[in-house]
Amino acid sequence: MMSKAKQENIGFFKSKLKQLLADKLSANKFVVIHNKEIQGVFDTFESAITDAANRFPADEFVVQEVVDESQNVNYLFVAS
Amino acid sequence: MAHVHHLNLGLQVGKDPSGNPVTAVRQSPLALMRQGFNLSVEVATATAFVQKQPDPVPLKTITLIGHFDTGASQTSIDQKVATHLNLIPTGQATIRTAGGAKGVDTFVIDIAFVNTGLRTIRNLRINSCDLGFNLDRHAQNPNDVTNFGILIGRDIMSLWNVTWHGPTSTVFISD
Repeated sequence: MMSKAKQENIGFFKSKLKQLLADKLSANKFVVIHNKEIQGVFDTFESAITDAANRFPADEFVVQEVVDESQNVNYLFVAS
Repeated sequence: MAHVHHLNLGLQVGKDPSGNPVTAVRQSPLALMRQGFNLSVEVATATAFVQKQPDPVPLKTITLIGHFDTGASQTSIDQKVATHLNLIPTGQATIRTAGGAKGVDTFVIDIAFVNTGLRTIRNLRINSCDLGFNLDRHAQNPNDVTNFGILIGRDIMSLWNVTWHGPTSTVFISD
């Protein structure tokens, strides 16, 4: 279950996604968000999660990929 | 570099036209066609959280069946496995299923491929979904390929050279 702090960070990310996609410095990269602020932009998920894990409590930050998810072909089998 | 050779052989027992018993070892496409490609994987709390300073997260692991899914851009874990491992959500993503698109929590894991020699992947971002994984059935028979807990997606496959030989149900993987 996602904490309230994480949910707020997701909401912040969604509100800024269009802007982040338009910016060449953040498009197709990974952003660390804590306290509804972007705390870093990284080329890889691994560097983003390693940095965030050592700076913030585990249940407070999120790492999001700045991509247009509608462009991904991702079709899963699910049970229900 | 590691090479994995997964081969299914079937034993056929019968009689020849004169009634003498005949046995034969045959290769068949049926194993891959019916069950897909499945391999045993060890899923663990991600290194980034285990080595986190301060407040490292306790290491938890589970060994279960992973099912190859070329339809999945990202590896996806059953929500019950995520709960069992006390995984902490790291974000959200959208998945598409027969029931439509929906938002799901993302997690981070380490994943190792049991008895293969393939390189362990650390701090892998994964999606979550409902695969119908049953922990009780898993405890009784951890090798039941119909009770898989993780879909191996194209994010992992993109690290490998995979050869799928359908007529003989043979899969070669090298990394």
